[in-house]
Amino acid sequence: MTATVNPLDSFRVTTILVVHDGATWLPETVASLASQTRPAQQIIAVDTGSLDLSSKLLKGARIPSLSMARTTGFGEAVSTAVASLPPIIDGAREWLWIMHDDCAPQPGALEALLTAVVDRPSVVVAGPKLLGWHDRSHLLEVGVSIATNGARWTGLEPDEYDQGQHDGVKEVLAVSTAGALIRRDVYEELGGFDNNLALFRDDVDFGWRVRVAGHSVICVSDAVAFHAQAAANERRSVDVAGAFLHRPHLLDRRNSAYVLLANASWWLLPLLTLQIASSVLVRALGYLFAKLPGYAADEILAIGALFIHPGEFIQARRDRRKKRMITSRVVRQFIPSGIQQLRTNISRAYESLRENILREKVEDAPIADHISDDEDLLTPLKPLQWRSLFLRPHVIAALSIALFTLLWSRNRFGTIEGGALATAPQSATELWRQYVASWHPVGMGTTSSMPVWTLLIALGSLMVLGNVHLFITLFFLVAPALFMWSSYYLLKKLTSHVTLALFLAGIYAISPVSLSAINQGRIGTIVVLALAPLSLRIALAWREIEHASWQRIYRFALLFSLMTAFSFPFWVMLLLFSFYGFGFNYAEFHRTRQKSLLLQRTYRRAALLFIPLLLNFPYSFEAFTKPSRFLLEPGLALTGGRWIEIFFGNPGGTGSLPLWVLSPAIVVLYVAFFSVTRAREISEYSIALLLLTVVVGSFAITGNGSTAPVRIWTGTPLAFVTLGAMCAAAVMLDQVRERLVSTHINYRHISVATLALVTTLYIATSIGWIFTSGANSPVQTHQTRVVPEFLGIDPLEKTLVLRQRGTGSDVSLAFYVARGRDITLGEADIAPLTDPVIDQAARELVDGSGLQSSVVFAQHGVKNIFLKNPAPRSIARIIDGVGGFTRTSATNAGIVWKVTAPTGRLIFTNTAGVQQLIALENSTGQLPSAGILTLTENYHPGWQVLQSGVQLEKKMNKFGVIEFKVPQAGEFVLVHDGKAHRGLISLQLIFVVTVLILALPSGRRRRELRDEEIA
Amino acid sequence: MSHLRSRAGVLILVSVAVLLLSNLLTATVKTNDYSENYPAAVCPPAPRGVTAAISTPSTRSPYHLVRGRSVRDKEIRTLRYASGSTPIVIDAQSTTPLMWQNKVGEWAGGVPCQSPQSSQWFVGGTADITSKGSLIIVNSGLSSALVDVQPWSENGIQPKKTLSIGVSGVVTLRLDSLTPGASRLAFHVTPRSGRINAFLVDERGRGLRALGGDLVNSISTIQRTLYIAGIPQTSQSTRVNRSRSQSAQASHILRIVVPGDVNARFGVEVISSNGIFSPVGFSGRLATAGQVTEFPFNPNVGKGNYAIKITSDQPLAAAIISTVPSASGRSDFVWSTPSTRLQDFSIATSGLAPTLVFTGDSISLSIRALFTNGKVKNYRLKGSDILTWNTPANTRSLTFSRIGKEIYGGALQSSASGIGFYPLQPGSVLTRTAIPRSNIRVLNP
Repeated sequence: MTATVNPLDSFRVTTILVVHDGATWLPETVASLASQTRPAQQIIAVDTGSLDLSSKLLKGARIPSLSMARTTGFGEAVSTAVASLPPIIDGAREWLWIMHDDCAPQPGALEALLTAVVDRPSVVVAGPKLLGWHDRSHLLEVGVSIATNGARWTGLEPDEYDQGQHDGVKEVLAVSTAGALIRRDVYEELGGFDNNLALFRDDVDFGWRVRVAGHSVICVSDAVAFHAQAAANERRSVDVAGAFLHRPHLLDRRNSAYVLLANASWWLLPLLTLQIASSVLVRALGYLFAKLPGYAADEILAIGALFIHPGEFIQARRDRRKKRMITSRVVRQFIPSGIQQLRTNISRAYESLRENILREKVEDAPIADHISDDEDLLTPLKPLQWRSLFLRPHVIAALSIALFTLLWSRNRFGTIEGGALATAPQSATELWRQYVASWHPVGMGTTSSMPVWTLLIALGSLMVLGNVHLFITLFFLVAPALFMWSSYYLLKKLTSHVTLALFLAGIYAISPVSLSAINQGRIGTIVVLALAPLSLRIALAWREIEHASWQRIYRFALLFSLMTAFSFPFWVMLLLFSFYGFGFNYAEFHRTRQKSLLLQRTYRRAALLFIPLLLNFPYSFEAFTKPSRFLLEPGLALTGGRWIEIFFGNPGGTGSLPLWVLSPAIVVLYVAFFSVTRAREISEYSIALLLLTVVVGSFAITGNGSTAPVRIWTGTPLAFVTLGAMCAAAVMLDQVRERLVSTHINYRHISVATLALVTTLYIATSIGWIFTSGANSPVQTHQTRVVPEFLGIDPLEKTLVLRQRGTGSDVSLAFYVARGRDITLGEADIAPLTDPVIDQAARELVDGSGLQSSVVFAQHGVKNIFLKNPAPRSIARIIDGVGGFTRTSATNAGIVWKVTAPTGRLIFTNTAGVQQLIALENSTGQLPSAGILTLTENYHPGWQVLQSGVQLEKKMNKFGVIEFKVPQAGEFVLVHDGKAHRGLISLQLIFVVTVLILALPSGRRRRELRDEEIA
Repeated sequence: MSHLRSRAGVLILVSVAVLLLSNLLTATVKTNDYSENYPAAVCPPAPRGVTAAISTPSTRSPYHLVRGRSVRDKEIRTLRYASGSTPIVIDAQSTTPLMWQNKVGEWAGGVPCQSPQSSQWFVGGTADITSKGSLIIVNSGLSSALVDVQPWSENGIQPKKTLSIGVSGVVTLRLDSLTPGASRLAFHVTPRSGRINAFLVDERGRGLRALGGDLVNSISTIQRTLYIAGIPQTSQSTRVNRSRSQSAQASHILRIVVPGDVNARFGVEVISSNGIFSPVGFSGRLATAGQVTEFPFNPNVGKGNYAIKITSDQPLAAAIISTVPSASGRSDFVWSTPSTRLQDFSIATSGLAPTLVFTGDSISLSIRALFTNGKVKNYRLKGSDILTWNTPANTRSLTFSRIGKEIYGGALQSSASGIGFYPLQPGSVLTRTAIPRSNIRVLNP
């Protein structure tokens, strides 16, 4: 009889259990060690100053233990335990099984590990498959590595379920120290764990060193251990030396960078440093957005802590060089590539978004009573009914709106402009440049801030690679569908009838205000129409606003800011609505005396009211000095409709529906006023808003670069009135059929019949109008340029453009100073009114009395007069006769006169009074002698001329332009100082980021996560 | 139910109140403001050897000479301004100044001073060996001007001439240099730029012998129906141009130009004290397109001046040249040209006493005569078909008002040197100019 020799018997294994406040997990750990199928020869525990019951538990388990200071690091603790062991006997296969106090190996773990290494002499480290402590099907690690940005890399999905997909024995860079089986001689040869890594990442570092020493590391999936990761999950304090502020995250980040910098090849260090620094910034930003400033600070401090002690990793590199037996390239296969990291990050981001935004409803799976295969076979196969697909209300609605839009927009396929919509610049970069510029060459020039909506358009156009033309065209094309979708989103909450909600959403999409806004290029009203349904969700809870969380308040504040950016009239409405809310709350306070409730409500309302102003800063604050901005929408100021049009829900103006196309919205409101449902309350608010709008629409204002008064455009309030009508209809008509069927003919039948008739008539007439004259809107493609190309050779050259509009008795003549081109988006909003002196000169030019007109124009740098065709010949004859102008061309575009006197942007007058033009190249020019340099721009203190580094003295001359006193000949630099403007933009950015962070979902610290959520 | 009624009442009341308030508050959005004025009129220069006088409406009328870059106006200080070889610009407001030119013992003619014109059609003049006439083009503006002159002759359309005229410049084109040898001329003057007025002087002579002369008035557009009111009745026939056999014995010659590409079929109705009739051969007569055609015209009409009405199936321009003996017994000719429909306006008549001829189915108008002594006298004229009225002596201006429908008028003025014709139409009409406003919208398509 021959005795079978178990090869595992030749192994001498010492378990080293490191304990630190681990009483929670220690009993199970000890029990699991005791129940190993192939137990270790001995167990040594190292207690690093536990304050809980850990030491008692160890004694109770009769495990010999070493006590160490509380600040002792993990590696030092293990080394102390190893040092306490007797020396290695030659030829003995002595191994160390490193164990954490929060790690419980399965009974066969050690046996499996030993089995794996027995036939692999090159393997000196083997680790188990680590599963979650609480969720024991949750895979934590099957080996571990490090990404080039310092992230701990396991190659697993978040919360990956263990189905054996990673089973087997695999070569890895490193394994966790929890359950790692290490050959003692190699451990001692390499000097154990790096004491600079008191906690975290010591495992990866050790694995890396093992690898470059020419050994192997494996993960054995047959060996399974459950790990609570108590320190990383902030389940216990981190007290090791060097753990600044006892923050595990900080220590982890610091150590990850240390591992990379200490082990990587020297030529990779610059790139690694860059990657570490950039990833720190990104992560810190991410943590800030997740409202975890502590973690964000950890990221920054970790790098700081490492780099203020460069000697540590320099020494570490020296030490490693001594032990390195093979090239560092051997670890490359275990370091994830950039593509791999990117793919994983995208996948995680997508999953996160899906989880938070597109959360799937979890429905109980139907439970079949019994499954019969035979029954399955007997069931006849039903062919897919494609026809039924097209009978679904959503499909019909989508197809209808698409067809409607295509036919209506037949003149808007391409670059669109006209009406209130100015020409879009070629790229988003130009819009961005305009936004940050401190000086805008519009008219005689202005320092006014660009409205925020131009920046939003620039950001939006990034979706189409920065092509602003394409973005605006697409935006106008999809606008009706957006109106329909967003209003359906609201209406479906008010009615159980999908078809009714879709039908009303369709009416909203083709309402008079929608049609007018698109036809006239009112981009502000279009945005309001699209977002109004979303904003009404907070209005539904306006009175008891204290129920809304602050995060929700900030989200709505962001939404309101967006709407305010596109429509200041919206903010005026918000102001009125807030006053109403304040009044209501105060009345309730008067009754109940609940001060805290009043304050809660007041703070929330104030946030909703003032955050839009802050986020639209500095443009919004300028509005307080130009109050007409509060009543004007983006773009050119076109006149709105008459009071009768507004009363019927039609904002009027060129390109709007004729008055005889009556909107059903107003009929709905007046019918709903007598309803017994909640529609009545909605109609009361809507009618009040409508009547207020009618009054406001009776007034005329000037602004947006025009002295011609225009009737106030009421698109924004009418959008809400129309939406209110649709909401009232949804509530009123929900279940109406059942009520009508069950009653005799009464006023309800008549009301519903009237509504049906008016709605049918509206649909028929409005669609008829759209398909005929409605498509010939002011906003179209293929509009001819106003300012001819040849006047735009010098982009800053000024040309006074005279243009006649209208026919017959309704003729108006207008002028403006052009800078070589038509205006672009946003410029109308900041266009300054022309100087009264220029106004006078232009008037005298046209009435023939302007003998001094050419002098005035020359003093303001206006080089040309352009009379745009079609123009009355009488005006041409008058200009011909006035003198001071030389006709230089007459083309189909119009007639151009050159101002006879020499003029330009910079006019130099020497001491003898002789004038000459000064050319600029890259803001630099040459002055011939002492004298006066006139910059023919509107006066602003920001303009500076620097000569030999000295600012020249400046003043405003009698024509309102800038004069610099030139002391001597020489080179000069002309600049506009935009520091203050850039400061304001930075402040705005801070406001935006702050509110954005506050509005985003909050992240949680790991200690705030429940055990079940961790693993 | 009563609750519903009260709600309805409140709703209706509030709605009506708001609508009424809005209606009251509604701002009348004026997108346009206008300035109205009468552009200053330009009077032609007097050719060499010709004396010229301008009847002005007031001694305070501002004027300046079309010369150099100065446009500083000064008061004219006379009711009869003796003009020289420099054109003048006179701000006469609603009263049209009349210019009377007189070459002593040879010819006389008149023309109303006019505001700058965008199109002028002249039918008159000759470029044969008797021609001493010229086309005078005045640029009264302070920018240089470009003008197109398109001549027609009996040989058809002639090459267009484009002239550049300097600031406050005058260009005189001799007719015989424009279309050498042609005997029947018509012109169309169209400025491309500038404040332009053109004047046609038709002066003729054979050697040292003067054959008369006249200032030919212009019309602004060619038309299918033309009225020429004020054709002088001649007591004897006088040869106008012996070289033309066609019209050798004619006292009146109708000259027509059809600028289009299609021949015109036209008819002439004579409106005289004898009644209205169409002369033999002048019904459905053909005028060749692109040519200047003359038709001898000797209707047998009674005493007094008369008028004609030309109707055509194509737009045309026409004028009648009438040879008349001057008071001195020498022969002179006068070009009677079409008039526009008579409208309310005034003419300055200081030093003149024209005979006014009105035509129309039913003539009714009032004339307010302002005398040089400051007195005013009103006349109410009524008649049918044709009415002739002699201006009292020593009038300063005549104002036409309360004018009936479709009345046309012309004035004949005779002097010792000859006879002249003025169409009764304003030289300067009230012009409405929109006052420009600053609006950046002009920079958007």
